[in-house]
Amino acid sequence: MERVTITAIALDMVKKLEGRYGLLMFHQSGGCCDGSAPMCYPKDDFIIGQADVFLGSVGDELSQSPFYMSGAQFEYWKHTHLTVDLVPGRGSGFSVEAPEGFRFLIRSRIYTDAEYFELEKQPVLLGRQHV
Amino acid sequence: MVLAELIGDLLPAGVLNIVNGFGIECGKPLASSKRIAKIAFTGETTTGRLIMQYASENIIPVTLELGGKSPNVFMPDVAEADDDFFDKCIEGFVMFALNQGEVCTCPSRALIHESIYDKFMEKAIARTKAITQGDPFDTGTMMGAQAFNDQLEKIMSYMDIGKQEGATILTGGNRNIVKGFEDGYYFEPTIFKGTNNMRVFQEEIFGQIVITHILLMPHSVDISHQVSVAKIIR
Repeated sequence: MERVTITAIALDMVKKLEGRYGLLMFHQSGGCCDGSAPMCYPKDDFIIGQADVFLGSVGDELSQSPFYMSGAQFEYWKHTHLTVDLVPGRGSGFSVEAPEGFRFLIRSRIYTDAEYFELEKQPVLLGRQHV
Repeated sequence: MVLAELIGDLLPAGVLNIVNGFGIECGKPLASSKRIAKIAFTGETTTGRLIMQYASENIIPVTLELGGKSPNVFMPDVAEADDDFFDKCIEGFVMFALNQGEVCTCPSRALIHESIYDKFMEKAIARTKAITQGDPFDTGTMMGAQAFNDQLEKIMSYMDIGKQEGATILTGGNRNIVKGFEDGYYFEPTIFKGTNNMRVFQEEIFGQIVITHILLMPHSVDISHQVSVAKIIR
């Protein structure tokens, strides 16, 4: 059962940015200001640790970006399916799309009871266990 | 920048440097520069981690302020009389809309005792509805637009998730189209009624949204410990 996906328009932006920065990754942020936004960084720029949960990789056969979130935050997000989307805007963090005049945005959908039951059977992958 | 223009010529050269720019091309070189002796950052958790990580390369001390979901607790005694004190408490509640909610310390969550919830909310909703949005140069305007489009989009995405999670909107909940500023990023001040496990209750939306929760004693102790986005200061 999939936990996270990406829209076509957001994936186009990822591919454009990959041309400049190489492979990318997402880490879901929380907290103030630009918080609750997914942050997109060059893949090795952000150290992933055992406190992070790997939700899956987003993209297609040409581009795959891993998506992580801190474990504490995951506890409150795990009942929701996430979609990485793209909107015009100007984020204030280090996310690499900001200079383009766009911002990645998370859209959420609550899993049905049946879906959540299936998800509960799946192991939760921590840190770089998935690599 | 306006402040710097005013005081710039009064300061000796090199005392104050303001560098504008995006994170990857400006923040990263600054945070990992040997010339920096201390870093203070206000923002969100992922960027906070990234900055701490950059600073660790040169063992630069870091202070992070990463937001909050500031809870206000209203117990029965605030509503013992329909007096100025009760009115002040309602005013305190409505501070969730201060600066369009784009302040870390805005009281974006309210825990209201079950015995006064209805009475309290009746007044709070009336006060919230009295907030006027409009031309920022009009002195009658009380609240402006969100800082930028992605902030407005994020607020709307939380309206969606809040409704899906079963939270009830008591007032507001929609984009506000203001005459003469049709493209402005205005959003109605919004009050949700929900429960502690909802994402809208746990995450800082950074908009003029408050989440109310009926406080049933003696569970309040549990609630105060179940805040994922508490004030994080390191």
